[in-house]
Amino acid sequence: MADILYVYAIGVAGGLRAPSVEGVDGSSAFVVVEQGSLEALTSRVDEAEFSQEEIDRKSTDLDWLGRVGYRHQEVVAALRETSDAIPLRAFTLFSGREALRGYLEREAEALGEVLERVRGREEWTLQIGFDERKWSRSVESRSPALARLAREAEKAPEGRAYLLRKKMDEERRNAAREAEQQLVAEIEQHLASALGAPMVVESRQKRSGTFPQIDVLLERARSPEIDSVASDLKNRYGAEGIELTLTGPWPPYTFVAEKRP
Amino acid sequence: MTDDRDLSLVETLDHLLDRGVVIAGEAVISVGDVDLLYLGLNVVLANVDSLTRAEKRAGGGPRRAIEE
Repeated sequence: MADILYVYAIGVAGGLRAPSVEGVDGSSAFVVVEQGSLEALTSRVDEAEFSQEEIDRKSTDLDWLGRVGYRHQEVVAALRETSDAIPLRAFTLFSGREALRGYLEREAEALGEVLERVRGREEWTLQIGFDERKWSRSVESRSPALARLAREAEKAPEGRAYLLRKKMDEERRNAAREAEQQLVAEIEQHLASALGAPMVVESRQKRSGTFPQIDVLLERARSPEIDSVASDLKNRYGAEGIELTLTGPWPPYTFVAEKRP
Repeated sequence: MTDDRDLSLVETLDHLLDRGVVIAGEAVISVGDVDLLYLGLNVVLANVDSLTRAEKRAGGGPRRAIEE
């Protein structure tokens, strides 16, 4: 059975210390692959277990997915306690040392820039959820068109009121979309002016239907600030049915994946 | 901040399997106070040294949805 390399993170040569936690293979036998000024922390894994076909097949097995995910996260989090490594997403695989060395050599400049960008920083994620009932009332108050239709429907005779209510249903969908975009922009603006840190806004469209969220790349020492900014936002939007959840600190997965600003 | 910094499976996978790194299939799971989160994972290996192969196989971006 051939082995391939599962890569957790990339850092400055000589800077990555193998953590004392389990890797995705359940062992603590990590392999550091060095090339020029960079190195990568990896586990040697069985190609049969981590082939595209096998991963596809096991993708619905949440025990397996969770085990790999948690182990990956633990390794990366432990690694970042001692260095500013570039965290890679789960299932980053190379066919062997030479392929990985080739990648480190080819991408040395770009990887160096990413390392610089995330140095001393962590990722925080603010999830924006909605209490359906409260938020739909808020959408009405945020939409002048809806408010106007509601007023007209109240005064109109029954036949016309019925038509107006049907129109309102249609308008409500547009208004909900616009109100959500407006809300996310407001929260982004608030975070930007309070923290002045790089952000990635993941809209509902970008997240293919799930609630939107905003990722913030913040210097470690400033972590307490985002907690207080999130509290301010919760107070400000709670009455509208907005449920904000702050998670972190995460290794800066999102900001490593983003293209250069 | 999560109260006890106990990052849930959903949140962990959300960070780890995001944007072009995820798998195919569906599953219904119940985690913490998120009742039924329906993950339509569409995972494509971030197989950096064989991206071309992955792209050919992927045939679409990651797809997710929450159903309440």
